[in-house]
Amino acid sequence: MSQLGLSDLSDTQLVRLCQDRGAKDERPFQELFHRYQTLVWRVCFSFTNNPQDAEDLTQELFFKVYRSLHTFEGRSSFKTWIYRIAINTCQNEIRKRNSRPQQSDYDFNTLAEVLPGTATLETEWQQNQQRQQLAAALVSLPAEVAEMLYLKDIEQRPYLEIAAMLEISVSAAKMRAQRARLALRAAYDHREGGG
Amino acid sequence: MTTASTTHFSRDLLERYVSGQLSETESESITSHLAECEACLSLTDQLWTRQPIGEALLDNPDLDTDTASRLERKLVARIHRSNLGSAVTRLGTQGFLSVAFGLLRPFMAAKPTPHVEKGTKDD
Repeated sequence: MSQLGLSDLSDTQLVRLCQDRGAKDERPFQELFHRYQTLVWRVCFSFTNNPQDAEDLTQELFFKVYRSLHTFEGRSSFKTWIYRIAINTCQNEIRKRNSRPQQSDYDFNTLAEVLPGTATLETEWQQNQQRQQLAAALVSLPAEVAEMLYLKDIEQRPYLEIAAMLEISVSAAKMRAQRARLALRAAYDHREGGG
Repeated sequence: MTTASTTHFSRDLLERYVSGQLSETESESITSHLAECEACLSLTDQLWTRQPIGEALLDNPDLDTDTASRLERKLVARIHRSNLGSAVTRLGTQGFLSVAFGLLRPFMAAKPTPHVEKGTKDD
């Protein structure tokens, strides 16, 4: 194994190295960070709809993971574990902020006053509104429902892979994905309707 | 509406399904069918991604390299600070304990004097 670089090791091997070496060597953890930074950032961005918030939350989350690595027992894959921490952390954080995930960096209202009638700007504003509604709907869902949506619709993983990750049958994965979408749809429409 | 897995649902019905226009019972019946019917599932997946909400889910930006590098720098710095803090606390605790032990050592090493009660001697 001495011939192998850190990038050749599996997640479980890296976690074991982190647990064994602790504070003496942070390189195995950095390798895990490289593997999952995009995934975690995207989860955080979906919930916050704000790049700066997503960055802060990602940092917070990886620090939390670093401090909790000793509790990882390998009952689920590291990927599933980090997914769940990411979704739970985001949901808790956003709920703590009084369910106001959508404080966008881009003030489209102000820009629209300066540049009225700009089609691109309007489209961007609409997309931003849509993402804000989506973020709010995601926060309101149970963590396992949000997790399914990430796996299927954001990460676009095949049903077979989702089933393996969650240790459920493929049929169950298909049904859960559909139910998750319907739940998101209901939460989204509820918010759009001002409910 | 049929739930037989050999029969496929119409596009129109699946469109109403993904847009949440069906009753809970109807939706659940379709959900069960989709678990067994690859053709209907594939069409439903397509219809879902064409919905504004499905599009919005897909339209999730990627982490850019600048942000990624900044994140790593900040995280590593934070881990170092935290580890340093823990080391200082550990050293401080060890130092305190060793000083305390040093001060208490003469007392701990001293032989306890036998306790003699007055008036018990036979003289």
